[in-house]
Amino acid sequence: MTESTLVALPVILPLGLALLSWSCRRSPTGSRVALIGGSALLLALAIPLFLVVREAGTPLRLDFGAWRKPLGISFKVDLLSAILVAVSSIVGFAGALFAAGETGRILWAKGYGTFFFLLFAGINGAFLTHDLFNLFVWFEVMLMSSFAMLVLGRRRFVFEGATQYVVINMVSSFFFLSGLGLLYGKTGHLNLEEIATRLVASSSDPVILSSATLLLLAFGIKAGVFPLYFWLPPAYPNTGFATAAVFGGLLTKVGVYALYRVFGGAFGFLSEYTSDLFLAIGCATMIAGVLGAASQFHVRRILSFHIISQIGYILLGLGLLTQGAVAAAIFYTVHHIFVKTNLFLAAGAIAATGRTEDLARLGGILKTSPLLAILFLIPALSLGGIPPLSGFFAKFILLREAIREEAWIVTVIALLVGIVTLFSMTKIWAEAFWKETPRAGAPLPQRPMLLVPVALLGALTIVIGLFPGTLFAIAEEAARQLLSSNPATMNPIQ
Amino acid sequence: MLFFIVHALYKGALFMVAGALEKGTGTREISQLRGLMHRFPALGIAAVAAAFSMSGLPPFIGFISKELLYEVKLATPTVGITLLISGIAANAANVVVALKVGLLPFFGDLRGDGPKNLKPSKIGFWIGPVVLGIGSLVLGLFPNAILGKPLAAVVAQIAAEDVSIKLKLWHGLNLVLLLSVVTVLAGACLFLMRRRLSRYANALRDATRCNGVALFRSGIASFLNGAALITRSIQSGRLHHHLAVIFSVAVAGLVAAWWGSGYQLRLPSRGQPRADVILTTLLLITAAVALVACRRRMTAVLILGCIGFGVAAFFALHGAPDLAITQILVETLTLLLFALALYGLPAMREERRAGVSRAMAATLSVGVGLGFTLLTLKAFDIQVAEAVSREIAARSLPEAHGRNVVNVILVDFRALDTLGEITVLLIAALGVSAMLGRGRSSLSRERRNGSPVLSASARYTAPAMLVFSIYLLLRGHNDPGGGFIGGLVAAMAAVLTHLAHPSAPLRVFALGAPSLMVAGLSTAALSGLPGLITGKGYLAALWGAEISLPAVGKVKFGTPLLFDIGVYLVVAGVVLLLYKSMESRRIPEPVSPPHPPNL
Amino acid sequence: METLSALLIGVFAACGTWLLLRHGLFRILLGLALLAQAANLLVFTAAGLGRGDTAIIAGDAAALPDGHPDPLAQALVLTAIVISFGALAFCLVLLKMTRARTGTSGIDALAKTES
Repeated sequence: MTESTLVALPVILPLGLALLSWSCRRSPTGSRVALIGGSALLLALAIPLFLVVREAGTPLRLDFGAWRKPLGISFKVDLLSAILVAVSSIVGFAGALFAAGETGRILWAKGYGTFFFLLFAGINGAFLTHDLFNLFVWFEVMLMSSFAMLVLGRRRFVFEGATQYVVINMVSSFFFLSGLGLLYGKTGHLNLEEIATRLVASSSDPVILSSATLLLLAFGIKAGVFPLYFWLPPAYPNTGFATAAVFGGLLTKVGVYALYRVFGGAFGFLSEYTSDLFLAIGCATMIAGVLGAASQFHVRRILSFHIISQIGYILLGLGLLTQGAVAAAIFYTVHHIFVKTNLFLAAGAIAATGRTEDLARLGGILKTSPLLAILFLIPALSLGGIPPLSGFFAKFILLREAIREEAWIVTVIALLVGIVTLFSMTKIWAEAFWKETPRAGAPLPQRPMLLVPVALLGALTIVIGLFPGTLFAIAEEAARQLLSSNPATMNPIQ
Repeated sequence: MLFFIVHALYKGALFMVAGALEKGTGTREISQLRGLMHRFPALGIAAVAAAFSMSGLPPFIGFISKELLYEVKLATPTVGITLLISGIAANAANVVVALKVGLLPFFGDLRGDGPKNLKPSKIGFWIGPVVLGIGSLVLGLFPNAILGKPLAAVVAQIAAEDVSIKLKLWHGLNLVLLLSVVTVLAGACLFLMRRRLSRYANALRDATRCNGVALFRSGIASFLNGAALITRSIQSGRLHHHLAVIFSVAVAGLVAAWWGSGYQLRLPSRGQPRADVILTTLLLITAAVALVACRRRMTAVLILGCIGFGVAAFFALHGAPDLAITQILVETLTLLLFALALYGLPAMREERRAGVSRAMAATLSVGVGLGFTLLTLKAFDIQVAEAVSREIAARSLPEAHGRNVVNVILVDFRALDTLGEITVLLIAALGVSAMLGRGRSSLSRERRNGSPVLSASARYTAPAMLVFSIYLLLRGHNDPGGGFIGGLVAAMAAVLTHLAHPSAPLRVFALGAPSLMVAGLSTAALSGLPGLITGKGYLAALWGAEISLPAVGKVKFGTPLLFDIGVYLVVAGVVLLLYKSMESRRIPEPVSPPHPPNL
Repeated sequence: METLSALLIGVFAACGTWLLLRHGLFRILLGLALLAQAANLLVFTAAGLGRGDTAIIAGDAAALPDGHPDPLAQALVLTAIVISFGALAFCLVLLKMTRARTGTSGIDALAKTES
């Protein structure tokens, strides 16, 4: 298999798998096999891609349709893209395992598997492409499939959340398209590198700054940053758990990735305008998210708000914009994707045994399902930043960079938010697991099938915690590659 | 770094001890807990170990971590002193707390008024703290062997500096050790004087009427209340408020961007005024305002349709026939869908207080509108001399064998975008059909047989439309047309047949909607594979013979044409599925009052 | 000419925003449709308005004449039109379902899913 095939397949293969899933949607067993097998195949594809890119040391390129770079659509896979594709495939695999245990006949027949794979086509496309309009298209693929997955179950309260989600994301698409149209008008190009090299000379042009503003809005809405995150908390808690897990782990991170790709790479020369802005946004996002979480008593609402606060942490790297800080943010992202997906899946397992997600009515799961208790504790403590789990190192590295840059306020806020995060996690733990069994009835016996993906991701969290240096080295290289695509620092020969 | 691990060890241990004790005794008040040592020996030992580690007593790991911290603080002269003093004070306080928590509950006499219902402790309760407590001890005794290497490795990799960490119990008699001793002594003194101290504290509390514990509790409570309050005020759950915030941010962002760049308005002066364009534009502006003012829903939909057709005219006047045709077809379809959706809906009452206040909405709308006008005006004083589209246009005929450059871009240069686009359509249609589910046709019984006039006209029109759609598809590479337009026309032919014969299935080429979509997406996706196999890369065009067809003209066959056929099929399928799902009136459940979800 | 179309885009954006902010879900949809039109027109206009001739190479020529409209912008707008149609159709059904499920136009009920 040539390298270019390897680059194209993460987008093309899910399309094929989606069609395959559609053809076997009538049989739940067939659908399960297709879902698990297909996501395993995607994983088997993403890992070699990551290894090849890491080995090569430079980004891989693929010009679709054999049109050389500015003419057609180009993918450029640097280490950051490769890491994220690999991580999302792992999450996809775990989500598929959980979905296979959770999803019922009706959902399969409606094409759950099809939407699942199309979602990953969109996610992978967004991670790999280096073309602004193509990014827009993959965003739309991703959003439409997430819309569809959201409403697939037709649960009673899905629609209210879905409406907000859909409407706000369509507004975001409006901003994206406008910003991109202006940029195309200004530069005549859609390839990010071409745009960047043409923009660097006129960084304070009003059109550039306002299109940057529009893109910032669009990506900010998708990433769920303050004060644009409103669509997220009502939308995620009302879906299936595997769906919520994949959404919670990946969708906002695609928005964050776009922010890094555009404002860390191509638009990096704008950092005099953006860096303080991103620090401020990051802090506000952390605080808003964590306060939201503290006020909730529903497991997945708590987790949804924590997505927001964690996005705040990740944005700090974009504000500091040093190689170390970006590397720390990448490390944080990887950690966060695993942990958040894991928590949502664990929440699914909790709800499956406790029959509710309401903390006030949960309890006593420690006795009936001690394994689940431990498996929940791993990502929960990791999210709270307890050593030696991945979250500790993620926070530690990020804070060290913040201290090194003498961003004291940021550091203090981040520490405080960390404490409240831990508080939230202990709240879930104490209420769901430790508390006496509620009157309403004893928890149901645990289905072991649901615990497999939880355990898988938990193991990954521990592994990252044991060997943080390896991941950090990779993240550093990825940060170097990302920042070197900033035209202000770019080697003119390239 | 080390401090984090140590901290986790002793805090974890102490918390678990507290939890276990609460379970065992039913209280957490230290003052009530005494002499539990003989009841819970293992817990007691763990607590003592953790407490010692926390106070930084050798030989526990806490000692080492504290030593390291002191050393660092001493090494940084300026800030160090302040940090050092506060560090010593904090650690001394730590010693007090640790001793109080770790020792008091376990030693001393079991008081008569103490907890009565002591439960035997279970292994689950004490195993955790014991392991952590012992961990503190073991790490303290053999720090280098266990933690030295991993720590050094982690720190080195993370800090990208050479760090050699020597962890040991005995650093020799130096200032650092002295500091440790001072700390522990101070802490121990404070511990011994705790009664007097707490008397002072009580006096202070009485004087100021604030109680530490109560303060803490009310602090937590007010924090939670505050969090809920803030969250409710930001996350109101009202879509309009959220949208208002988003648009406010947008306006503010644009203003800031212009402020930072010194926006100067210059009206573009290129181009001659054209009466037709001016008329269209003015009509469109009027229609948009009318849409806002309009009260009736059906009228609003019609106005929206007019706007769509007006935009199509705008495109046509500016040299974009493909866009114009697509826009007209899409707009027709949108009108149809809106009509179907409204047909099935019960009459709705518009909420009175639906939106944000009039003034707010007006400010934001004007802001957004003004912003976009100014932006567009600014976008004009740019020359796009080196736009990539020039080169694309130049290569379109010789290399991509097509005269209609827009279509060439869609199926060849940027075929990947189009692939994504038809995927979006497919998802939308499948999502719609999944939401609505299967249902009966809404057409009434007498119309089930179709009207004779319609059926007679459909008998001839529909096949003609199908042929015409294929003609549009084939000529698309050189003239306005192409897969998208062709597919829409084909679907309309099928819809027409269906209206004439409602009992007949909705089909194009004897294929139902899902099969059309699957076949189309497969065709489009597979059309990229030959390029991949021949090594030119996915979606690279391969060309075959050029054939002259009657009426169409010369058509060059190749994978891009195959791709366009895929687009044709997907679009036809999508339209059919959308029509089918919307047309069948099935609102799943009777209207039920909304219940709040699990709170 | 250009000034006029800039004005048009502004009016579309303003009316779309107003519809989004002031009214129930049905009009929010109309607003979204209007905003989508504004964005399409913006992409189309920002790339430069053509003079009336098309981006189709005449039968006897080998390339487009000078001053032709930007074909790439047209292709982008075409894709965007189609995508926004898909999203709008989806929204429309969502509106129908929300209405059927909650009995309101779905917005005031939204607040209840929050706390």
